[in-house]
Amino acid sequence: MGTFMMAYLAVWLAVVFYVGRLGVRQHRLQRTLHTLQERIQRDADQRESLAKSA
Amino acid sequence: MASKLWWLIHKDLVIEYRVRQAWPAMLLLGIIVAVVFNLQMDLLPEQRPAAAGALLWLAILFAGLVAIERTGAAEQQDGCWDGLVLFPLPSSLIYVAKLAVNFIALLALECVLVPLFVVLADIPLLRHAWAMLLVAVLGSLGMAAVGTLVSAMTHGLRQRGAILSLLVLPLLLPVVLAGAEASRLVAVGDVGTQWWRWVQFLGAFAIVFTTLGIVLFGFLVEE
Amino acid sequence: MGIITTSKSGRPVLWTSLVAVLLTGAIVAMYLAPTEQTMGDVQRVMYVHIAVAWLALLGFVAMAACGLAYLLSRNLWWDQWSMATCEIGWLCSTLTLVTGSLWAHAAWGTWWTWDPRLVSSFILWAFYSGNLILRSGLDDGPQRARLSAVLVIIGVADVPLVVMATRWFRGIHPVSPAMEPSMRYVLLASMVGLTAIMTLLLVRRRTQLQHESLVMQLQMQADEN
Repeated sequence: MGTFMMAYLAVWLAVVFYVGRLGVRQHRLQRTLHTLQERIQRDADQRESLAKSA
Repeated sequence: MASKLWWLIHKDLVIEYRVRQAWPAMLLLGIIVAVVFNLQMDLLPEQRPAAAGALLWLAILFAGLVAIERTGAAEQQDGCWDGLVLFPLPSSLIYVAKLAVNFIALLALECVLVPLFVVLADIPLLRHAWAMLLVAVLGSLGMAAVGTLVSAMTHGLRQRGAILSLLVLPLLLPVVLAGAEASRLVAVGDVGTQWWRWVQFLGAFAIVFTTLGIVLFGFLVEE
Repeated sequence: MGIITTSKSGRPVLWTSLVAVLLTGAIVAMYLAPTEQTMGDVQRVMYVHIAVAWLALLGFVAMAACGLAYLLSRNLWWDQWSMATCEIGWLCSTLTLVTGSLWAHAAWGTWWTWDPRLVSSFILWAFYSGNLILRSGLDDGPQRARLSAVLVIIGVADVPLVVMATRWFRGIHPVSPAMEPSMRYVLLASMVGLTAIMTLLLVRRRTQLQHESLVMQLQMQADEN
């Protein structure tokens, strides 16, 4: 039974590892998107204030 | 078409003759590998053909890879490759030309390595010279077909040489196994149906990958 | 941009189904399946091993099909599938080697022998790894998709030849053992379960790759402005 448990554990760990990696990448993606949105917003604000002052 | 093909091959051979960019390194590596492999061959005479057959084809593989890598790397200098691809030629013609050049290099390598193995490992590979020639020609064709295609694939990559050998070695395992077994059978003088089956296998490998190369090469060079 | 923000809600479902399938599989394999006569409990590794080996092989063919579809259609959507399949396939291929090695150690007393099937699965693993390394050396885009597609197509042409050569080499011929019907059902269930898990991961990874390339495009647009 020990060998089976080890093989099963290997599959289990691999799946956990992959799901974890998916999560990390998703997190990173969301962060990138967030900073991007902020940047676009800032650019838009800047353009607006420039237009007002002109 | 044939004359264009000849000029493409001629160009590479002339460059090789003048600059000697690939062949000396290839031959030297082949000789070194052959000698090092044979240092440890304290085997009984009947065990030797099996070991020597496998080592011969590993030596051809390693040294051949150097030749394929270096001829590919030379094209990368000064935008040669981009110029070549821009010529109004079908890309499959470029593939066939490069394949031919690599094939010739591998044959030259085998002309050195096979006699060297006869001497160092003391096995009669040349007793049936035509049989050995057939194995060498078909094996080289398969190796060159895969090597040329993957070499074009790794054009412009960082660490090109490492990636090239990484991709080529598993692809060429069938050639090494078939070449080793066919050479063993030649050395023991058994050039019957079993030997013929391996020769057919090598022929099939060469046909499959030359065809795939002709079809797929265009995808690799487009911009 | 709304597409990317939906990911949180899917997570509990994903986790619960993964845990459920894996645990059920283990219980069935440990208690419901009969014990093999000569090998005993060690043979139960088979339910995991054959399932991942099948997935590694299936993944390779699927990857080549995606590569071919990309070359014909030039739609990067196919390349995302190909990339996701490559990652999952690499995982399954590694698991094939690991579980097979565990089984071999328990049954034959050695971690590794040069048996044709072992060589073939090792070469499969090498192809997966090579493709991942080739991809890691290239930037996201059509060039990477093209090169990788060509590589997997020649790889898939090579696999049958590897299997043939290794079987002929020194005349070793492995045979498939006869199996009791109940064992076959457990094996089938295990294969279906693992295939479902891996497909789930594959679909999620593919979606993620699409989002990644979308974000990259947005970033480039923002840089231009």
